[in-house]
Amino acid sequence: MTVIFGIAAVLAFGGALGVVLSQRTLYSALSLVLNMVSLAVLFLLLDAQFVAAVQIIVYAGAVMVLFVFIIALLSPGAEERVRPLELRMLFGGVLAAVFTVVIGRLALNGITVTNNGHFHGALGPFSPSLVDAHGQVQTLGEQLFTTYLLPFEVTSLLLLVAAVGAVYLSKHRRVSS
Amino acid sequence: MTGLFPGFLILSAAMFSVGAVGVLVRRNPLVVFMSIELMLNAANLALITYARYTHTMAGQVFALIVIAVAASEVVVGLALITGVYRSGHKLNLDELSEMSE
Amino acid sequence: MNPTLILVLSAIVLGLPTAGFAVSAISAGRLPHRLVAWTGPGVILGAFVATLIIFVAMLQQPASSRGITVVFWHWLNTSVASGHGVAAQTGFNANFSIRIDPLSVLMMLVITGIGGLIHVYSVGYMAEDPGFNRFFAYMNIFITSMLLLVMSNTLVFLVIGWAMVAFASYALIAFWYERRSAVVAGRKAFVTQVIGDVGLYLGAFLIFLNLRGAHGQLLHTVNMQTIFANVGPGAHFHDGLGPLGGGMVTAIGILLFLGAAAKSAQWPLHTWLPDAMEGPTPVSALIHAATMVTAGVYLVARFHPIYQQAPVAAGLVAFIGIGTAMMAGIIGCTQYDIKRVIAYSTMSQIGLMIFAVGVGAYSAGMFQFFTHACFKALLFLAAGNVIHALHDDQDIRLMGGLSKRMKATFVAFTVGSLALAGIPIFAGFFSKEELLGSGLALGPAVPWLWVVGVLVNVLTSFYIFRVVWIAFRGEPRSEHAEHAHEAPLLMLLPVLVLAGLATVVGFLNVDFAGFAPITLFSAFLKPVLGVPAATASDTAGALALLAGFLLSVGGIVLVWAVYGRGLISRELVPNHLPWLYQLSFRKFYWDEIYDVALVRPTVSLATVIRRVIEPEVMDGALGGIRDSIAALADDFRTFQTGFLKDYATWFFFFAVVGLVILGLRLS
Repeated sequence: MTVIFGIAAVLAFGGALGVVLSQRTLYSALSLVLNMVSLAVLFLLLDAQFVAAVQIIVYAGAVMVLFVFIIALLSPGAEERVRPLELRMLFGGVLAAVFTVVIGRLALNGITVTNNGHFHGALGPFSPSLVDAHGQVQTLGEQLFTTYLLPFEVTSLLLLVAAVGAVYLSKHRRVSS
Repeated sequence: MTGLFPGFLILSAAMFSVGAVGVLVRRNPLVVFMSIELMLNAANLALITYARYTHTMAGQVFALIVIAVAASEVVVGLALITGVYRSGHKLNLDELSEMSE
Repeated sequence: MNPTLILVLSAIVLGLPTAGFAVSAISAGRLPHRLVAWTGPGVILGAFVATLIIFVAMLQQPASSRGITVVFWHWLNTSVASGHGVAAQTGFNANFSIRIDPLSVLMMLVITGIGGLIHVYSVGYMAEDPGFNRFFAYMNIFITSMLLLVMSNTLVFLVIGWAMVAFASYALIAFWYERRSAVVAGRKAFVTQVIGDVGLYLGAFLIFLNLRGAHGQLLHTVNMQTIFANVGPGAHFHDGLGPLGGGMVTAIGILLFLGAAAKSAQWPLHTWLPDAMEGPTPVSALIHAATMVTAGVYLVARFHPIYQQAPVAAGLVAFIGIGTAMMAGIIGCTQYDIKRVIAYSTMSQIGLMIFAVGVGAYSAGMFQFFTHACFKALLFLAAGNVIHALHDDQDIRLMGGLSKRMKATFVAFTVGSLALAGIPIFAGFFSKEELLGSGLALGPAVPWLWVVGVLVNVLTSFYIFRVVWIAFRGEPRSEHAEHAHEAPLLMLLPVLVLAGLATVVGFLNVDFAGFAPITLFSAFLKPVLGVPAATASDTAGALALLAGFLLSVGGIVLVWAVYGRGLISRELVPNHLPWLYQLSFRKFYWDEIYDVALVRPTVSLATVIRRVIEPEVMDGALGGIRDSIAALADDFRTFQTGFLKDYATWFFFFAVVGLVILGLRLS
């Protein structure tokens, strides 16, 4: 498990770096695909099979296709690099390093986890073995349609708004031009 | 008991900050969008990690909702970018500063 | 009674007027009047039909099971159910719940029944008014608020209905907002209402904070049934109950009555009612005769378990009621505005009702409310016909000779006057004699208060027949009066229905010495209001009856002698007792007293604040704050570059700073 985690983590992080560092937009998009597929593997490691599947279908499938389609449509040229190194880039790098170190420290020093390796507070009722026995998708579905029904419904409303908004935006532009 | 928990969390933090730096330094709005997707994915990873290690379901449910939110965001964002491109602007965030007016 | 049926019907009763309000309000200025002329009265009559069904369903039940509480929805519930290792706790719970029992059904019948007739009448009266739709919007929302007030089972919604009624009344009094006097009158009414509201709120809060249950625990409840169940004899407020009632329950009684006094126009909060006659006449009939002004009577009757524990507060209520009745009766004798005379008569009659509920004759007070609603609405609507025919002249000196030109209205007005004066077979006779008989048996300081109440009779018949004589008999004294003609059928029909009611409803409760008792009315209310602690003996009752009747007839004879035959000079009182005449004509100088004591000091204080404190202190301090904020804003403005990246950089920077602070605090 550790080995798989190591490989997937390296690929995911490499993909992330690729998104930010590639000069051509298409390479950024492809790196993002790599990152997302690796994340799906990590989700599988975390016993979240359904989310992993959704990750592949929605992200690597729908969203990335949309990205690639738009890139092909607009065909933006390569960004010219700024030389010398931009001040903001340095600043952002420092901030990113501080951020990662602080999170890592909080994860390791016994804030969320005690020193003997147990979580503070009681564990929830959804242990992996129990969830497997009942069925991963069944459990998630039950939760989604009972306890979390309201967020679920609100999300559906959001999707509707997004669809209407996208239609409006594209139509509106065409009329004005 | 915790095993790889810190590993997942650190990976999530690292991906998040890489995405944040992407937002800060890149000028192409498409890449900025991808960086935002990266940050959302990093948050998803953290959510699912906690769900797994505290034996709860809320993290997975919210990861699903985040995916839905990200999808709608991409749809609207890409429509906006297309609109900006059509109205004759270059796809360069350094030249789009009409918000200050 | 079937709870589901009651739930649906009460939802219809409350919902129809609300829907009517929405239709009228939305269509105001957009749609022609024809739609609202149907929906406006239609929704009220629909609510009346639903109320009738509730009433019939209630009559099917034995008397002991005629009360039912239905919950529309649970609102603001802090109770905790047991589970997760936590014991169940009863918390604060303000349900939107409705109490259906004989008392509230009686109020609902009057509000929707009489209110419906007045709505029909308004279609004719307001036909030419450009604000037709707006008028019906206000009228409908008034009915909703009034129904909410009487149907609510929680103090919270009682208070909401109470305040909404005050607003609707304000909007209707100031309906003709081009007239300055109307706006001023509306404002006066509203301010007075708010003073009363504060009393009601404080009383409700004291009940909420101090009421204790059977085991001495604080209940913290706003459920009115729970409150009444726990207010019975025994130390249920923390300071116990002496023979005069504890201080707490007395304070609650007085504070609640402050609210009742403002709504019912009782001294010292009575000055708004005569001015409220600036509103359209149907408004006076609906709000200032039949329904809103009797809300105070309803409140005292509804909270009678509290007043039974607070004899001092109840005695005060009775004294103020009878005093207001007397004072308003005296004032009514010298006024010349037809509507103001009726307004003072309303104040006087409500004073009698307040007296009745103050001495503990709750059923008698409610019966007087019931008959009064019929004949007072009748008087106002008949007066409205007169005013309509005379093109908005309200001064009785400009009328005269109308009995020949407006026969039906004259008959109706006379029936109303006979009922008001308490002449046998008309409604007022039965209710008033029962009321005064109970006063004789129960009253504090027996029999003095009761004697005052009987004396009011002579004033009542004098002032109302004075109007009949001056306005309807003799020769026309103005151009308009000569050309007056009868009102259209739409306005005549409700008047005639009310005239019929004012004649017959008294027979619902014939309950005094020497008559076969028919006590349908008090038997109906008995499950809620109980029976009076004492009743008058037959001899005393017969004497009271006779005295009251003779004085009423005496008042009419007096009018005949003064205005009909001229046997007594009209100038007798002005010449020989000028102070009494002036006192009455100037309305006991209350407006002037309030002006000197309250209005002018407030205005002077406001002027001082405006001239001195506002420019120096407030503007100085605020100016300083404004300048420093402007300076700060100048510093921050450099951040607003308009570039997305700059915003994102700062955002990320401060997020990391926050995270670092969090990390330092945790480790």
